[in-house]
Amino acid sequence: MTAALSVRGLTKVYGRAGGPFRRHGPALTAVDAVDLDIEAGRTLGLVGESGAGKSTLGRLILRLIEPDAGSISLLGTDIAALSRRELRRMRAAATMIFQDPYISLDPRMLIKDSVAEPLLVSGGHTRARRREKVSDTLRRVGLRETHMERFPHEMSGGQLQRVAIARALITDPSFIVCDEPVAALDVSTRAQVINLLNDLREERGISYLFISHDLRLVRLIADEVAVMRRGSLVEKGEAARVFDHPEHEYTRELLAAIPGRSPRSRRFGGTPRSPGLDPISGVG
Amino acid sequence: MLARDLTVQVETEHGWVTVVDGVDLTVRRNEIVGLVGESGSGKTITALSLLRLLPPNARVRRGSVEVMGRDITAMRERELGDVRGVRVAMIFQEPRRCLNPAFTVGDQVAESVRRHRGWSRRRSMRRTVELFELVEIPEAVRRVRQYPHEFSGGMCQRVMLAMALACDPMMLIADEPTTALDVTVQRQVLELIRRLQVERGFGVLLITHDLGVVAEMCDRVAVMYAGQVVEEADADTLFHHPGNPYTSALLRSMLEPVRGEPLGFIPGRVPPPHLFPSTCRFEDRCAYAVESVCGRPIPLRQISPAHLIRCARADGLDLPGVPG
Repeated sequence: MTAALSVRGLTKVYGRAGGPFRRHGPALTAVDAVDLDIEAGRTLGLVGESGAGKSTLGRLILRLIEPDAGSISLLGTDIAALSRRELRRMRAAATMIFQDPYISLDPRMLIKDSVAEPLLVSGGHTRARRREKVSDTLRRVGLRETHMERFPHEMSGGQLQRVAIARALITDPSFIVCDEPVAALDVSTRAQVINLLNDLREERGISYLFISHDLRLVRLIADEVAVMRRGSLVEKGEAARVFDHPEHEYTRELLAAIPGRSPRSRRFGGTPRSPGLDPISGVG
Repeated sequence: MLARDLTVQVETEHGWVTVVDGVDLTVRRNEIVGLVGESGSGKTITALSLLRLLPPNARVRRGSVEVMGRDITAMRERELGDVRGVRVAMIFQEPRRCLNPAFTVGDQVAESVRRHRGWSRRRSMRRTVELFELVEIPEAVRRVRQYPHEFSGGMCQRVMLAMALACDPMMLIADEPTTALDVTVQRQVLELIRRLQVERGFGVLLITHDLGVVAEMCDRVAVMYAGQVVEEADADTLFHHPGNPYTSALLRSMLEPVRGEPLGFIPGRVPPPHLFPSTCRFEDRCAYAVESVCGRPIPLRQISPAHLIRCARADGLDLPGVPG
């Protein structure tokens, strides 16, 4: 198996002394010497609480922000060495889906233009070819031709996230960073988007870095899991192993915090009480 | 607290549109009732109207809300002050937005104590420290003097809880209290709510879209869809033997997913309120819909003493729930 992603010693420090926005406090190491590998066609779930550095790591990998140390080999290319032009081409092969489609899509652009934009940037397509690709991709994510002529505010959250997926998909990437792709969606819609991501992986052999704070979702989609805390990976391994036999204390803590498996049996402390005492309305 | 036939309208570009339609809800002392639904189902509007906190573009069209035997829909604003915060308290999804960044958290909680009880500043502040200890904020004496930005999200929600408990309410309405929090913090806050509820015996109306939270917390559950309650039952029945296809689909779309199997989902979306049909509102998304039976208004029927279902086919269906 070839590696889709191989990261060694990746580090990002914010607020280091000397910069124009020098902080008075100590520097914050958002990502601290992270090593990570994803094989082609596999999905790595990156979990952790807010502030753990998950999104920073995701952005570093696509060089949306510059690392302070470490190396990133993405689809066999050392991306630190790429020129701007080469990087642009790379971003057709490795794309990103953001958390909130209301923010990540330009409200003044028609859906078809938003989806076509990555093709324009990477270049090399005729207008007719672009249009064809847009309509194919939109159809693939479950949207209709009529959606092309709409603006973001005319669509629901679930539809917009499909647009965002279409935008990430249109350049036929082999690697996608999904940063909390369904956190802004309702439960019933959430499931549709997850199923779509799963189908696409099987169809096209795309590798995902799937960032989420929701362990239930990660369990559903990831082959491997990495648990991040305060900038470092505390545990990584096969998803089944990590979920069923977590080794690190923090992983156990996260798993134990997942709310609800079945009613009552896992209630916090105490025995179930008989429901139906005095209605408040009847008590003084 | 008893809501009867609660019907709320909101003024929109389509005129006055009914967003909450004939909701009956009872919350007794000593119990936690879950109100579950997707966004747009009307659960938050229901909660706000229970305390008459609706925004100016919304009105209660029909129905009553009784708190301890008094109908609050008929009350004057002054009388409402005796209900809000005193008899019934409420906490919200984003605690930080509810706190004024320019005042210390202690001042804000103490103000609530002072206003409702008429105590002196000093006595109110002492009570505030006690309340902070009650909601397990460490170093309460020091932290009452801090500002909201010095508190994490979980700690802010504890401050809101302290404020809510300032007057020993009979009932707490919690609107998505942990949705904005991390899982481990969510667990701590839920445990705290549970502990306080058991100790103090108040009733809780817990509004959430997370069935996992409901499973752990609630005695009874009401499921809302498109402005109506579509099913109400004790938690065990609802999770193991749901009677409404929407409840069943919701359960399958989120609990204990199995890898390799596609996650259950509900096609389509909740219709916008001005397009709520007069027939079964879930009909066009429902896998069990039969036009001849479902194409008319469906009443909420009592199929057993504690189980209400709004579904024309409820008698003939055996719907999957969470395996027992």
